[in-house]
Amino acid sequence: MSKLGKLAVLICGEVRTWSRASEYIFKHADNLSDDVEYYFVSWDVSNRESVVESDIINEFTKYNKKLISYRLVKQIDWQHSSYYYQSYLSKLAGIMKRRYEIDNNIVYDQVIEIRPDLLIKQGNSNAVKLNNFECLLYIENNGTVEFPGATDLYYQSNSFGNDVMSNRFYYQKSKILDHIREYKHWMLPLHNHQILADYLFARRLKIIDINRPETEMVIRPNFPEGNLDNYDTNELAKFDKEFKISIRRN
Amino acid sequence: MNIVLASLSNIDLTSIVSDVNPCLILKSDKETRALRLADVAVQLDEKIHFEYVKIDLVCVINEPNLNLEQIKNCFVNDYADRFYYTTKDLHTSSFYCKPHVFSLIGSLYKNDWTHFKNIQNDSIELLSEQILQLVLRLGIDVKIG
Repeated sequence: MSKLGKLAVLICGEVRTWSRASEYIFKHADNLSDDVEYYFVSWDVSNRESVVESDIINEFTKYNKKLISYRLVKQIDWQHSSYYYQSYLSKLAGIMKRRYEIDNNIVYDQVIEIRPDLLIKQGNSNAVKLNNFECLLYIENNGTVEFPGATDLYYQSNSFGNDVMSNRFYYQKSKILDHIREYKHWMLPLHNHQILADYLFARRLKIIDINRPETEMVIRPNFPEGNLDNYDTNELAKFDKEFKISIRRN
Repeated sequence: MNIVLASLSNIDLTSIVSDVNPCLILKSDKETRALRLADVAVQLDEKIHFEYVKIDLVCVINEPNLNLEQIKNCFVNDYADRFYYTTKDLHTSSFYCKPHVFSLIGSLYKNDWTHFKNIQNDSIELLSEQILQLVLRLGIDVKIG
């Protein structure tokens, strides 16, 4: 039985370790829904190596997953916070999803935005169907929702909520919040999170309990060989230092 | 300034085109007004992000014989310093806004998909009310003259 109904997974970000992470992203989505469709947007360069279409498509072919649309775009250099780079890719993926919905007269029940370099170690996924203006985020600090506490790793919402989230590329930092906090976002190491938290606040998006206790995530690890389910999250986090496209090594 | 005209019906745009001199006119043949709005919103985003067309403002036109000044009385703005709420609402259903605001407005049909799907009369009034509710709910400022 499909827990989340028709699910779109938007994979946005630098390719990095996609060839290893893909298996676990697919497993995660399969745990959440029986009807999953994928979108993929990335830069045409990762770790100073060019990325070609087959780097993306091969994983979907290998695991027999339904890739609706994909796009590799040239890298941009805005000298902005990485928030804008990631949200730019999210914007493109959102457009592709909206186009498909309009042309096929559907609306996805739920949408997940995720990065291709994110390892998801899963147990029993705690599937929660979200309503309008609700947004589930993976947040650090053991799931404690603190302001600011948002990251750009993982979002879930319904399709309307994703349209709102994928429009965050345009967001400028709130003058009101600047005044309240009396500091600028670039003075803080968590500035990306703060811009996002500002956006959520300004758009009245309600953050849902983000802690999926059975699901752990590791960002851009340089995966060791073998079954990654055999490692615990802390062990995998040690591989965080180096990230390469491992596709061509095989 | 690069202005796009978005038309949700088959009205004659001759008057407004000569006044505004738009860089682009977007139309849709989808079955309901809400879906046509969604369609032109996606078209606009595709122009901006996939074809790199620079666009400053979008005018959604539902009445013939409007000029730009009249449309500017229905301004849906973002990040303004003050809020302009009114019950006069968007009954004309003609308004203009920045492209990124239009992008959000285009998705309003998903707010209640079943409801919109069942609409037979393609109501302008209902759409206007939904737009107003949506932009207010999203924290977007509305100025209506």
